[in-house]
Amino acid sequence: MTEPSKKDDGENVEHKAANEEHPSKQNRQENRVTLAKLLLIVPVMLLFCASLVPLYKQICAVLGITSQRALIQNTQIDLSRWVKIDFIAHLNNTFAWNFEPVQKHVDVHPGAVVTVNYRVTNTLPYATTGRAVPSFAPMEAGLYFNKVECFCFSNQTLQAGETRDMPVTFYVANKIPDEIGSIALSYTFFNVTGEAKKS
Amino acid sequence: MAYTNSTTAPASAHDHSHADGHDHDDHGPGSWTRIFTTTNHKDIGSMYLWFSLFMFFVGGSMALLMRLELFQPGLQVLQPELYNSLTTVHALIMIFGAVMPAFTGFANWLIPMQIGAADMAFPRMNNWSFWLMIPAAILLFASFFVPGGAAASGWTLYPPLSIQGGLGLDMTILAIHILGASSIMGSINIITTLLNMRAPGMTLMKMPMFCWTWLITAYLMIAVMPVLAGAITMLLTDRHFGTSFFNAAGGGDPTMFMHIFWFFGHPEVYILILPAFGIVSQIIPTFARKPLFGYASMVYATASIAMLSFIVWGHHMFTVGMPAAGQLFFMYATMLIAVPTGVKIFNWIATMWRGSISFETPMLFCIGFLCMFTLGGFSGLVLSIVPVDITLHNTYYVVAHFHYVLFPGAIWGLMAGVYFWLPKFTGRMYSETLGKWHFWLSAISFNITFFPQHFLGLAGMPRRIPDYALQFAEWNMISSIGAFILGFSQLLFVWNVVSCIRSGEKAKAKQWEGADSLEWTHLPSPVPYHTFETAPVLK
Repeated sequence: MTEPSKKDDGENVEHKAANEEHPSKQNRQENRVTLAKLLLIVPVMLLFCASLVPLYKQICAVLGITSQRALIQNTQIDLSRWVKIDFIAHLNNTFAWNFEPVQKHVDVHPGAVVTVNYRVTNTLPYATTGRAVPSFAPMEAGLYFNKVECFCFSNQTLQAGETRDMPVTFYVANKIPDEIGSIALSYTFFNVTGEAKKS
Repeated sequence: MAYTNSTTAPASAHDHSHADGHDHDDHGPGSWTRIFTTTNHKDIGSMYLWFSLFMFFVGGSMALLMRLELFQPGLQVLQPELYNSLTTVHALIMIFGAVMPAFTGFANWLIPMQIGAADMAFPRMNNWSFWLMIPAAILLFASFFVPGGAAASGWTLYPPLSIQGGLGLDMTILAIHILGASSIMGSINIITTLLNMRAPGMTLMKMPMFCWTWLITAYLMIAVMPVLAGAITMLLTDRHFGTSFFNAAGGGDPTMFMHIFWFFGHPEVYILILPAFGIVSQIIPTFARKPLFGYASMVYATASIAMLSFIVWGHHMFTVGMPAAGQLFFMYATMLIAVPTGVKIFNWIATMWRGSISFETPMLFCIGFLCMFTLGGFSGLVLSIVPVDITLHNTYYVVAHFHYVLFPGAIWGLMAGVYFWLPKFTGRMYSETLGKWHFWLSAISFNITFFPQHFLGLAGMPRRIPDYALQFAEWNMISSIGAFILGFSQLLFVWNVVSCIRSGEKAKAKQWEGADSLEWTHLPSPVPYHTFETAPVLK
């Protein structure tokens, strides 16, 4: 505050004190107004409390903050090497399904996590249960081929005419020897309908 | 307002010659029963201070019971249920019953005197905000004796535990509601007084720092107390009216409670410390015999701390599974608070720099505050780092951290304030020798109690448990020994205060030569019952 306005304040209050029996009367009016303003904060904050959840959701949606994994990076990828993976699908004889990889092959770096799909269709007019068994070529590659998620070894029941994409998530271990430049992953589906019914 | 000259304030119950020549018969002048109806800010301030001193010892006794149980591994003294109730009620009593009312007590005593006002803006509401605390305190105590015992969910009242508890929890919720209402009324009173009733010439930027910190604290309180009320009301309806705000079985989300609670909880932490900053900012310049260094930056730093406190609540809940971007935001925002806090710490140090310092008891407590609070602030910075927090979450490291900021922070700020203004309030001096004993015993035993808890936390001891693995035995025993020395040395404080009121040496109007706020420069010691009925004109 500047000097002159300070003086003004002083004069005003002295004047007030001299003329009024209750020097606080004008003050009281001001105080009521301040009270009302401050009380207004209470419902506003209650409202804010109630809207915290939608607000939080909105802000996260706008900013795209949705996944806890957003900043997690795989630091184990060996970018200097490529391994070619061929996907092969077999059906055990007398098993009339369609079964084929969606991609025939991918090139991956050792350490990178990759997901591919196999597509199966039950061409039979009734529900059938199958079970897939994997194998590798060369066989040694199986030591370095790590499946994180796979449809193999568990019963897969498909309704008549149903088509399903079955994912395989895997990575090739970093310590894979240089001489293994390509791996063939092959799945063979067996018909286990009868067995599944028994159990 | 008019009183006969036989009316006395409890703290100045002797020899004050103020008389305004009017009779007023509805207050029972001189009789102790006037405490129920009094609207005098000094009476109410004293009532707040006595109440909080009582609650401080109640909460402290609970802490000692817990430390007794933790003296050795195994269960010796307490059953786990009672132990959990004690952790819960100890925290609630210390926060809502001891620290907050004590600051309000100082606000009542000092704010009108420091700005040259006759009283608070709403004297009757002032009386009411004090008396609301009594039923709340009774509810908290009584909850120990109902079936199921007192709330045992921790003071944060996290569901699902708080949804499952018995009658004690309902009583706790009701008590918090009442205390919240009391705090809101008190804050409105303080803001209105500070904004409308300053003496001519007392511009906002000339107010003593204590008034500034309280102005900002009061805004924080009005803003967050309704949020707490909302959270615990939802808890209450979940418990009794079939809603499922937080009940996962009904589609609710317990994490939502944590978000709402900590939106209140973090500003609450600053409500507990900002007025102590104000007290320290008054005392350090007095005993360094230099004006406060960087007054304006102190004001802005306090305001920035208050504003930042609204956007850091997530750091209390890094482990609930929030997005990494959220964790990073809360981590950086939390670290940002260290900047204005650092401004304040450095300003206090700069105030002392090349000052002509003398080490009376209030100054000792302030210097202790400065060292220990900074240590607590540093462990807070450690905890703000997400990966560190994930391992330290809910360990004794956290217990050590917040006791370092709350005991030497809030409590020593208050102790310093009591020693500093006692001559003004009572017109008598406390015993400097006893005060120094009190300080050094507190300072040493506090560190014996809480420093080992850092080690316990780093070694993985979880908080809120009555029993622990054997490898934690030694540090726990040391911590318990420290706690008992700490607890009992606070009795020196009571002795000192009581003997000061009864038989202390006469104090001078300006007991501390370096003091420069209005209560020291314009008023005698003890201060008369009515002061500044006509506002002083300041240049």
